[in-house]
Amino acid sequence: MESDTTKTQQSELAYSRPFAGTPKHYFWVSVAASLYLSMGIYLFYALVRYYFAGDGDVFTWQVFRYALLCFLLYTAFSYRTMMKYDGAYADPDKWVEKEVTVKLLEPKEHRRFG
Amino acid sequence: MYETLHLALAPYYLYIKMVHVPAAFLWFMSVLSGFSYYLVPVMQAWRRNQNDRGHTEMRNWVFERFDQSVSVEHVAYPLVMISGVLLFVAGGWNAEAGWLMLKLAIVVVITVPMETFDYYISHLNGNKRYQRDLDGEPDWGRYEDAMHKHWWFFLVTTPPIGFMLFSVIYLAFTKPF
Repeated sequence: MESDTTKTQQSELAYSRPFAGTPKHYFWVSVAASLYLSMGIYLFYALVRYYFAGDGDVFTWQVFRYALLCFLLYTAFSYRTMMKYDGAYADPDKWVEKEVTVKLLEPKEHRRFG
Repeated sequence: MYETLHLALAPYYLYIKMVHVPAAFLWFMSVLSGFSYYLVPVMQAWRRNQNDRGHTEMRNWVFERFDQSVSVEHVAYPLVMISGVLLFVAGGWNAEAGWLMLKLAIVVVITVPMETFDYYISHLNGNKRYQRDLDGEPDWGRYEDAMHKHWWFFLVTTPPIGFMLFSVIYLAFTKPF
């Protein structure tokens, strides 16, 4: 959805649209990523150990509880990190904005590897 | 088969390790300063003032330079994976080594999907500059879509990289179980 506050035209170099990420998105993305990581890593590890080393203990609560702990800790870690990198905890007073005119160097064409 | 390969590669174990460890650190570390001290501050400045022309142009320029700088880690990554497989065989490792299986699980589950998508959006047809110029005339709407997609990608993948960095180094160096 185009924002009403967008001043520049879509054809312009400085065209910009507001980023859609919100804390609510970051929370649910963190839950989904955490579920994928904790269950994916646990299942990969457990299946390899079970089939190739004959270790049946990997399917016990003593091992699974680490996957559960990983899920909880990683969800919190991921949410805080996403918020931090998107600037939610950043202090804008640490920066000053200087008005300058510069010539930006750009390669003429997109090259796949630099 | 595994035994034959193991016997053939075993004398070169340390040479393969000499490639694997530096390549792993190059993959981990080569983007760290560019990401932390250039890309993130610029993206945060743009997020505070998303309609400012200067911030938008600076964001575009820094992001495109960053897309080029990740070429280093994207050369290192295949080296890490290939030398990792060779190390596994040369060392005669198997599933009894719990620390190695956990390390492999972390590496495969996190890096394979992440790097596949990263190659696509940084260098291949998902690249924002490529998307912009696809029809000859610059399409800044498509460029903006690619830009947002790439920023989502960084927000989602930065936490697992942090988790992986510490867990994999810990497992590789201490081999705790």
